[in-house]
Amino acid sequence: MAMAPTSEQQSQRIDLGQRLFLVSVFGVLVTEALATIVNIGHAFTWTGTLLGIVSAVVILYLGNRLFVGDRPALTASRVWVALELVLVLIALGILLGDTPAESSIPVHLNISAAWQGWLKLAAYAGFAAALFLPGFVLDFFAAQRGDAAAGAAVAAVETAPISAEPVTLANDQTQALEALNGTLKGVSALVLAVGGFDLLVGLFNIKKSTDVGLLSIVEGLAVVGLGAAVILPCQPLQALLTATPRTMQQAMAFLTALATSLAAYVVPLVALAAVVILRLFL
Amino acid sequence: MSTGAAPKQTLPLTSDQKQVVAKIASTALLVTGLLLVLGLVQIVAGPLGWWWGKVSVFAALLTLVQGLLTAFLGLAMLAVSSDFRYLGEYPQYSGNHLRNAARNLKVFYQVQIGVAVVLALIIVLRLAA
Repeated sequence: MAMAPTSEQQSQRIDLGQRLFLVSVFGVLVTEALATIVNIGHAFTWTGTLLGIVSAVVILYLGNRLFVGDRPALTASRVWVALELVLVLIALGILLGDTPAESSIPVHLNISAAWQGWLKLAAYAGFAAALFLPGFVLDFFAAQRGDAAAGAAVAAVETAPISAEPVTLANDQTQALEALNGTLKGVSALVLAVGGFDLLVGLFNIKKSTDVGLLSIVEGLAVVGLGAAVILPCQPLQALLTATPRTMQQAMAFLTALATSLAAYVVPLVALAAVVILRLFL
Repeated sequence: MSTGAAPKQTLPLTSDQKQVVAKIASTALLVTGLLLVLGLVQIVAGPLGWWWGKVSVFAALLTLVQGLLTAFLGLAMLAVSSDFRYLGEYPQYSGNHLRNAARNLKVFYQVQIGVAVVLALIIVLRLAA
């Protein structure tokens, strides 16, 4: 009986790993595309543009291979991310140094301003953390490969005795959960949209004032984080509501996702408070 | 003869599963604290920003409204935290507590829509400035 919660948590970890992996891949992709588009109009060089396009294509290809659990792709991705991080650090080092105007190296590395360097650094550092540190994403890759431990964990979820325990919800309880489910979807879309808008305004304002722009970018990222946190319990709740008969496994999957969702509020809320205070003193 | 409401169908929680429910309650309490702090910071920062000449009256008012809504979010999350605490402590009424938690969470997310709309207005003002 004690196996069930552990197995549910394993399943939850794999699910969260998939989401984190997708967010980190698309984070890198969006950052590369954004820097390339901005630099084509702002500080065009063939080398910088080519590097941006190649980086975007390579991350898409590697992301695709990683998603199906390709082990050599994991090694290749680690090497590629390390290389990109070195290039970003070189460009940032020059841009933040004493004489950034005298060097054209950052532009050739597809980084024409410090904010681009910081964005790329954040995106690649996040992706590197996912690829190198043991955790959700590596568990997801293991499950995709069908490794023994991950496979056993998934199988345990499917066969655990507790999973068959029925849950009978009264009409008012079902209606309350259905209403919550409907609200969750709308809220996540709106919050993500507002966060994205804030992010874009931050990027636009960074030309006028780096500090103001950066604060907007941090605020936008925090709001996007809140939107992503709202999404987490949607799928398990939907599964619980549509299942017949409902089981404790489904109820616990929803509750575990809700716990993860609430925990994911902490960092964005701290960041938002910091942004409000910093704005007062700029 | 009992005069109270009869217990509805319950969630058969094991002791391990009760720990998950307790974790939700404690995390919700932490989020409550953070939301109340953030709301308070916004309530103070709005008028202060206007007083110091950093923002317009309208932006200051919107920040104040955002702070009030955020503080209300904190109160809604406090109710959610209590619901999950009771859900773990009184399993015979767990169905009712789950229903109450779902209703309070719905209120929480609905108010979050308001906060998002106010934030969008503030961003538009910032863009126009």
